[in-house]
Amino acid sequence: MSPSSTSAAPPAPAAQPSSVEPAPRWVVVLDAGHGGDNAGESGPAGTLEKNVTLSVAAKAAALLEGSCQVVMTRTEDKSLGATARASAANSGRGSVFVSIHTGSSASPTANGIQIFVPSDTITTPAGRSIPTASARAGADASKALAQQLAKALAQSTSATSRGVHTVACRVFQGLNMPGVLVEIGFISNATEESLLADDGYQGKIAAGIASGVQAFLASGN
Amino acid sequence: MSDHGKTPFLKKVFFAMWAMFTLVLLFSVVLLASELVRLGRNPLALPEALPELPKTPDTAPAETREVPLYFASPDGRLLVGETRPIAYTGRTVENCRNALGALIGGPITALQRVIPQSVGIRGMYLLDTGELIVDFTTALQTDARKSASEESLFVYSVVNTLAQPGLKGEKDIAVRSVRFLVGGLPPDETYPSHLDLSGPVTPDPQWMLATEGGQSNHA
Repeated sequence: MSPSSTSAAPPAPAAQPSSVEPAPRWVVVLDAGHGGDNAGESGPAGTLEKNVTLSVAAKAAALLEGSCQVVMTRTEDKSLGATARASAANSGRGSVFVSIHTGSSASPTANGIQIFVPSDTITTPAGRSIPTASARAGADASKALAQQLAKALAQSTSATSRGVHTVACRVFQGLNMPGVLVEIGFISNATEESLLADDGYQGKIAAGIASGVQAFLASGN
Repeated sequence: MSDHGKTPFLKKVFFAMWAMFTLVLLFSVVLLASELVRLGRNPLALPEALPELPKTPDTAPAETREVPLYFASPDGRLLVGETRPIAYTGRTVENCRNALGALIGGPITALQRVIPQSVGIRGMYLLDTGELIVDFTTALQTDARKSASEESLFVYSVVNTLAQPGLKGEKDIAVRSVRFLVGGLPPDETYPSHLDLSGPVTPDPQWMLATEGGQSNHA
């Protein structure tokens, strides 16, 4: 598939501008999917993806802020393109990038958590996919992040894990840090829709995201 | 001879000719009837309707090939092959058009459709490099589900179906990758919202559910 260029990861933590040499802090970029006039998918009861993703991102940010610096690509109900999201992550000197979405399927029983990571190839102008060392390093780090997230989310929510898949997503384009796109549940499934709209369950997802990111950063990948 | 004397003579000639004609006709009917009896057919039966001439097909191919079309599993998780007869010609692009038409038509088993039925094919072109360009109608932007998982199933359902050796025309080139267009243009964020389709896509077995025959894999 087309280019997904993430660099070897994660970059060194950003140093604090201070004379007392505080511990360096990792920068976690949380990207709440959709927003504004792009509501994303909606559930049978009318729950909107853009509201669920923003709420979960805000909860995860609150959990991470003690140990990391958090950058949110959006904090309100506004529309944002994929390029702008990646740019915000790069300019915020992110160490990791987590894009939060919900799944949707024609199958009403589809459920669970699925994670997408960039491929280890770049695409030439002629359209040929070529593996490169930097793309491979970025993809490997992204996979490691995805595995930590999958493990932590399974523990915090008990939801079915649908695994990690390699796909070129728009938000990975030009991203220079390990990145994943997480589908936190299927909004098209009536049971999961009600869970996704629930404040307590959103807290569990947020806890899983925060825990997975911290485990990845602690592993020194 | 007077005019009055001519009339009986002409009448006699007329009756003689009529009698001869009737005899010949009767003789022909008897001959035809005896021939039909000899052929085992009833000479008194009503004539049968003319048999219909075989219709000449507009575009030839009577040949079909069994090809797996990849639809979503009932739980919407992975792709599963449903083997179907696809009209086969010597041209790869025609075979791909037939297969994609059947894919849009939907599954005949319990599998799930991955392309909305409202979506059409505007055009299909095969480059010398083996890159197949498929141009979908804009119904894709309005009618398809927009999640990374569903978009992935759509993309790899199309690519894994069309880049099969079974669709290669006998003396034509095979499909190596598929480039997507929507409404004649490269796809924008309207659809797919999550996947990047700016370049051609090659088949990917990670979306296939493993089968007993080893037809597909699940990574």
